[in-house]
Amino acid sequence: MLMHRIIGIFIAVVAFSARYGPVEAQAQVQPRRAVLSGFVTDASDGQPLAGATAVLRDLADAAGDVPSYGVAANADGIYIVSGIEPGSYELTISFIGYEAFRDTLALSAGDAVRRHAALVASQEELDEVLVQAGREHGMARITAGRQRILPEEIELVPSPDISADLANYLTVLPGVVTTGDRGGQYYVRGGEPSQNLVHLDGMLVYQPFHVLGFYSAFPADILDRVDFYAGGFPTRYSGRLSSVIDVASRYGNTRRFAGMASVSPFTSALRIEGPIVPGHASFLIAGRESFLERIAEPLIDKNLPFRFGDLFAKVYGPATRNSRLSISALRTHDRGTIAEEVGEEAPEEVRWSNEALGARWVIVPRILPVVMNVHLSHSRHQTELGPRDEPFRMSRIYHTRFAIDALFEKDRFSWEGGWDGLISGESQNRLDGVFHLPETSARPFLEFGFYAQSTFDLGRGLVVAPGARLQWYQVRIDPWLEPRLRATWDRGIHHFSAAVGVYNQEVVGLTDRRDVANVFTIWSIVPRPEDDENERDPLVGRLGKSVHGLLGYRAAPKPWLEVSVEGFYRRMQNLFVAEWTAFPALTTRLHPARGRSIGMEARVEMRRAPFYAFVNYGLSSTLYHTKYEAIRYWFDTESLEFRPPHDRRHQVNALASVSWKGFDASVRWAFGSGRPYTRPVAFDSFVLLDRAASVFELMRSRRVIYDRPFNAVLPTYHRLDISVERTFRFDGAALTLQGSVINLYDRRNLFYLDLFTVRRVDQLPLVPSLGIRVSFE
Amino acid sequence: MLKGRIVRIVLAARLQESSVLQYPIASNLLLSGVLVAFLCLTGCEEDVAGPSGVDAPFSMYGILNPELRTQTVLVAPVEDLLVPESGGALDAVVTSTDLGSGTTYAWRDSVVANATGQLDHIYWADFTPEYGSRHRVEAARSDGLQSSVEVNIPEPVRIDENDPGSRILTVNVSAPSDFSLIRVDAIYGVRFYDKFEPGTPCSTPVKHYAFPYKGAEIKTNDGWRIKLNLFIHYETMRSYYHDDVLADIDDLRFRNPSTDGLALMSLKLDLTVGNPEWNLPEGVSIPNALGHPNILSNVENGYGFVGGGYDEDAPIYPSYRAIRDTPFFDFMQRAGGDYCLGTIEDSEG
Repeated sequence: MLMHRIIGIFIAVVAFSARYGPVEAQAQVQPRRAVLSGFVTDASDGQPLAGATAVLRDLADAAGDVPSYGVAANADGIYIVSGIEPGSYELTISFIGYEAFRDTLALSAGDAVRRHAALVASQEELDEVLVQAGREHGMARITAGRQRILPEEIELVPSPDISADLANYLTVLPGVVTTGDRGGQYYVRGGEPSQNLVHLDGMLVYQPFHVLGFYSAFPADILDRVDFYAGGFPTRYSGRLSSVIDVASRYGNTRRFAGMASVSPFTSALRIEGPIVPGHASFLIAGRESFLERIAEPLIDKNLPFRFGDLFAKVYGPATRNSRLSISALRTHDRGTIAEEVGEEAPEEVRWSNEALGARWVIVPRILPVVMNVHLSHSRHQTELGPRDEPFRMSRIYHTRFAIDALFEKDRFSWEGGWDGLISGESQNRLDGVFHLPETSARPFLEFGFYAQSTFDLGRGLVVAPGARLQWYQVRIDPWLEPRLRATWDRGIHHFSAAVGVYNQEVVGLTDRRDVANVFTIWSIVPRPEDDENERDPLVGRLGKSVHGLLGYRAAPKPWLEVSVEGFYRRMQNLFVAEWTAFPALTTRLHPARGRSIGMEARVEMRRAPFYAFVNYGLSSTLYHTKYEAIRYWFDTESLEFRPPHDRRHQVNALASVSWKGFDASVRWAFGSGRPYTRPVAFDSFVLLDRAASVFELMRSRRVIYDRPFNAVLPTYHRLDISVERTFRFDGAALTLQGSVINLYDRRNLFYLDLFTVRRVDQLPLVPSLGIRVSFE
Repeated sequence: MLKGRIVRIVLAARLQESSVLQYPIASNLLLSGVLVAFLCLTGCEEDVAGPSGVDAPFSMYGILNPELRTQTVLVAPVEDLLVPESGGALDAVVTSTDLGSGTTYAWRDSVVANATGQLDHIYWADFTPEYGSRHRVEAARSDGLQSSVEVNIPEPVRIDENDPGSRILTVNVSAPSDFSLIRVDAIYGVRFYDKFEPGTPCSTPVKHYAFPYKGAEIKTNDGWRIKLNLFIHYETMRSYYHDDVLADIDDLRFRNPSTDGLALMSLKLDLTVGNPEWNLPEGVSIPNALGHPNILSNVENGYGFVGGGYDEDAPIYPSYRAIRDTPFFDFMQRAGGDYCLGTIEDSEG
């Protein structure tokens, strides 16, 4: 009955969309109409020009001043004009900063015509008003949790490396909390790191952030764009509770060879790209490797026991006349000791790696005015804790992802739908008894779903996008319905947006959150009740669930000024928290918990050449609520409510950048209020009284005496970073020098406090850095 | 790269058109802001609060046992560091008094390393408390602060077996006054037997396997009732026995349940009897949760728990009819019927 009801609701949603969607799409291919489509690219390097406009003017219209049809190219540079009445037209494809492409077309009934355009950059002055109006990116340009991030914005944030990185940019976002500059853990609006969905060209990457917080697998110079959803994400994304980081890498240069090499005290990087078939197919290879021990450690006189690196490769080219195929591959590796040495006890080393290989086939079918995507990828992630040759904890997860979707767009309507699944997945864990999972376990998993989302332009600036996802998870046979809605309302300079949605997560990342230095994450699957052999696994049947609600306002009172405010609320169920133990050890049991997060983000952004600046403020409150038998005896209460260690109430980020006489200078200041921690009362010794024996024969241990967990707050965090960059251009080559100082006033920012030794571990001190980059094209 | 160029072009275009915000103003504002932030913040270093601290001087842990000649109690100072800087003498005088007779005992310190290498102070005294007696143990610091605890020693228990002739045996544990059962284990002694090789059983060793029954006891008017199920652990023991014994012997294997299996050689109930205060709340696991200061806490002006109790065991002799209702019985009946009763051991501990 439940399954029938869920499927019934999903079909109703899809049918509602279909009333306007596929039916209308079918109408467009009726014999009396014609379809025009094509790819728009930059003639200099073959990159798609997202947002380029294709306009058809009816030559029979004597005045000719009103376009008959007009569309914008999507992120892949694809445009489709459908439902064209037979006749003669002038086609104009244009993009700001480029010479327009013009052609004359005589279209007959039933024609399906293609015109690809490679636009040449123009030397004429730009119309910046158009740029502002069409701009999708920017710090304050957030729409119901969604923000588009471009590489040049990432490059504005000072970092100790000349190679800018998405990870460093994420830290300036008001809804993103990091616990410090090591560990690679990102918390978005109260969610946990394992609840973030990270896609690179559609490949799911489990832990793409490097052990040193400035770096990820996404250096800016391989990126085309990043869509970051802090919540309320649409139906095409699934399997995570908190956020989406959807990274699209750029294609290699199809016209000529280009490359880049850079060196800084932290990393060295290399990138090579060029044509495989000139004008059509290209490759791009980029790699990066850290060498902190050799330069950075002596420079700042601080132990930095980290090694990391990544390698990315991509080939791209036309598969047929109306399709493009790209193949991407990624490999990352990290190792390091997050905590610091205490006494003679060496901290445990954690290691992780990611491997992913994927293909994406973008098709513009002749028979339908839709854009189709077919995606196939395989992702693998492994993490270990302990000695390298004999780790005592290991977690591995892998899967194959297959997805197929279609997008139909018309003037006031668009429809998107498809099938998306993780197949042949398995998580394998060897855990030395921690978390009360079996010492070794292997759990296969399969999850897939159908989704549909329609976008209706209802007029008067109101656009709504209802959708639903029908998702099957391993935990039960019946599917799960995940309804979602996004809406925007434009009234002059005022822009309102909202989103609500239901999200589920079957693949869970288990980490001992009592200690931020413990970043070892066990990836496991929520087991079905019938698979629970020992009947003690707290995960059984508890599929993670979250409900998001967002409401935002944005305004551009001046062409150079934009402000936005967004409030959010999310409710989370079936979280897992570590049981509190008085023993100074990290072995623990898990207990289910629920939580809620509520907050507000305010942003002000100013773009006034040669000046650029923004200020962000984030206010949030996250509470976890857990209930299990022992709590009653420990805390004299039936349940326990506490602030998790990532509940940072206030966060401010300010950035200013200026270009002057060939120099690009940026300054960034970050502030975060203190995070909760558990303040101990005292320490003593404990004897396990499990039989009536002499104390000499019984197990004895040191113990921490504490009151309630997370009952105190750590000091505030703030830091000032600056960077100055100058590029010298030569014939076909460029030399860039960058000087930066991280933590300019050498603030002792706490990374974590060892609960048992009351010993503090600080984040990076003042770090001067000089980087050099050589690029050619 | 391309979009980077576009933005730079746009920025350049705006520079030309800019009339509202001139660059020097912006630059000065920026410089002023940086300077103010720098001056305000460099001097503001915050430290982290350490342990909040308590007045209680000691934690005490131990069990006064009427079956031991030497009593032991761990006395640990309540302090601000997990790892104390020195392991010297403890500023504590530990005494105990039999509240019935008034006899006082002075306890002596011994310093012993625990599993993590840190030093514990275990105090000991040579005396044997009487069953049913009551004692007060005190640990006093030189500044006058002291922690103390009063301990009841439980009465001796009586163990009675009720065999209804089925696989479920009932054992009653009773005493004149209230008591707790801290540990309840059923220990089986088993040996391999093959119907077609009657001499084999005597050549294979007897292995003992313990199964906990803690949590399954039922409160009665004068104690506790424990129901032992002779059936449910058979397969587990069979598996253990195979791994422990048969895996190392080439010719012996469990092949057919109707012709070979385990012979029950002994059965013993192993208990820890404690005073009523030594009582774990339901749902609290050992040892993770047991370590919380609020669990098992009876020390005044301090932390920890000192209880009274002793270990007790009793052999159980299942009847022929009871064994016949188990896999042991199946095997033994075909082997000749009186095999089990003829060779069952009292106990091997």
